[in-house]
Amino acid sequence: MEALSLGGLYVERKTPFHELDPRAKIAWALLVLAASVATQFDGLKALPVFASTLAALSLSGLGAGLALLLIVNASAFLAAVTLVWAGAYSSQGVLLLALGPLRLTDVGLKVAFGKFFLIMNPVLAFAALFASTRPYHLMWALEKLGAPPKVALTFTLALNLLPSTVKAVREVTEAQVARGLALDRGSVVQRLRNYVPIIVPMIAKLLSDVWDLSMVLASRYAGYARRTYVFEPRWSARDTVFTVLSLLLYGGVAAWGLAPWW
Amino acid sequence: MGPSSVVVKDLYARYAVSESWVLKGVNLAVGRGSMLVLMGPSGCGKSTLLYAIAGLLPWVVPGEVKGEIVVEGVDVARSGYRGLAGVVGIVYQNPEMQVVTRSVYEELAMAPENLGLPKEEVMRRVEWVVEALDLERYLNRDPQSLSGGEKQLIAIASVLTMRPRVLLLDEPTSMLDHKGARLVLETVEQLKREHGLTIIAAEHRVEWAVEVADRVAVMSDGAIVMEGSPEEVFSRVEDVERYGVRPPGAAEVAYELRRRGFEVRVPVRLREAFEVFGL
Repeated sequence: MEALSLGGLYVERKTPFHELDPRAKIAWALLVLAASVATQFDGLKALPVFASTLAALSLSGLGAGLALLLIVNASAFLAAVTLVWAGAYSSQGVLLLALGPLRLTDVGLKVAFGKFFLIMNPVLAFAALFASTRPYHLMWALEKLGAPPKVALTFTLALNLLPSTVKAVREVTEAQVARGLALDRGSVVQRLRNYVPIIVPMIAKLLSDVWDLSMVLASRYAGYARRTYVFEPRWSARDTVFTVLSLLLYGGVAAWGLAPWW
Repeated sequence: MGPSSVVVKDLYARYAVSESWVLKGVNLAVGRGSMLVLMGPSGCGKSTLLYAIAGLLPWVVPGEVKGEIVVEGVDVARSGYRGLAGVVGIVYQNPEMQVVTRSVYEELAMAPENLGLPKEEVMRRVEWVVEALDLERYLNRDPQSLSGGEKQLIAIASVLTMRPRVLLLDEPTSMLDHKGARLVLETVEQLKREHGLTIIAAEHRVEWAVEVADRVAVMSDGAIVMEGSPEEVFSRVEDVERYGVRPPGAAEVAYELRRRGFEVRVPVRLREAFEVFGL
């Protein structure tokens, strides 16, 4: 049985990105978010941000392959975003493609990619942050940034419920399929109904796991006092350089995104 | 029995979702440094009693508790579980849910860190428990790669870093294989022998219980129906069986012989059985 661990998304590696102070990485992820918001109407301007998140994934030892996997999995989302925004901007810019009622213009395409990167860039940035930062240090950083200890712990727990949820879905699905549940038969409505025997026990399992975990944390006095941290990261010159470079890059991109004349 | 470490008087307890009382008038006194093993069928109230003694019910687990619980002089009804920090430690059944961090050191340091102890004190306590339970070989391992028994051992060690005077064990071996259970039970024996902890353990392994327990309490339907030394309790084979507890194998054999007309004493431990049966 898999444990509901506080280790969730973290991947143990020794990389330059792992070595950075978690506060520097949190600031970086927030800057990526800000730059993505600022460039959401122009996918071209969001490209440097996208490239930087790929670089961060590589530097964190996860590799750009993970980004590729996320993008492939998000391709349906990209197609939907393109259709929606191409439709919304079909009367602006140069017509690139006309397929029946669909009129794809250069402006529509830029906005579609801008909106796509608005989601993808922060997802990749926070994936790099969480995968390269020990939950222990993430909690420490959140507390240092002013979050109450219980909030820091709850945030870390919630974050790490994601992989636990995926594991729970896989376990329950395998168990139900072994009992004869067919997920690929029937109409769309029938197929949706077939997921009920997965969703119900999955929620029950997660609730049970969370209940057990809350008992353990309570009896270890989580939230009892201001927590001591034996292992505290130390801000170094490398963190300062990284933060300043991030500010320059994302500040520049954000200014570029917001400037109407560029 | 020395001065009492844990005193429970006329305790009634139920969960918020319970229609009736789960514990019905439990009375109990456990001497300082002694070990009590709670036995009884599933659902008889063993875990509920431990949760109430630990102050988790009703402070963490919603419910209602009536009666008196005093642990090392702390009135649990008034202080709740927070007042028992450094007094009581509890270990649960499921080892998978009790090891929650990404390093054994972090795991051991977690409770004293949560208590806000100074960094040096946290490190001292971790070093102490590592030495006391010989955990050096686990320090550099990812806890998730440990076996069930090893995880339970780390869970016990994590609780010990709070330096509790009372250790509550809620069926700590019920989800372990033989090897894992042995590792955990040997550790509990060591804690009793070398560190003088007061231990209350809900445990099904009767042969182990009779070897290490100072007292045994049999629970049935939310009440303690038998209590005494292992000899006093398990020599009453019929009563024990009636309450859903399997007596030790040695006692079962002797009881069967007595039923068939042989005049033999009822031993509860294996070494006594050798004497009784002339082996």
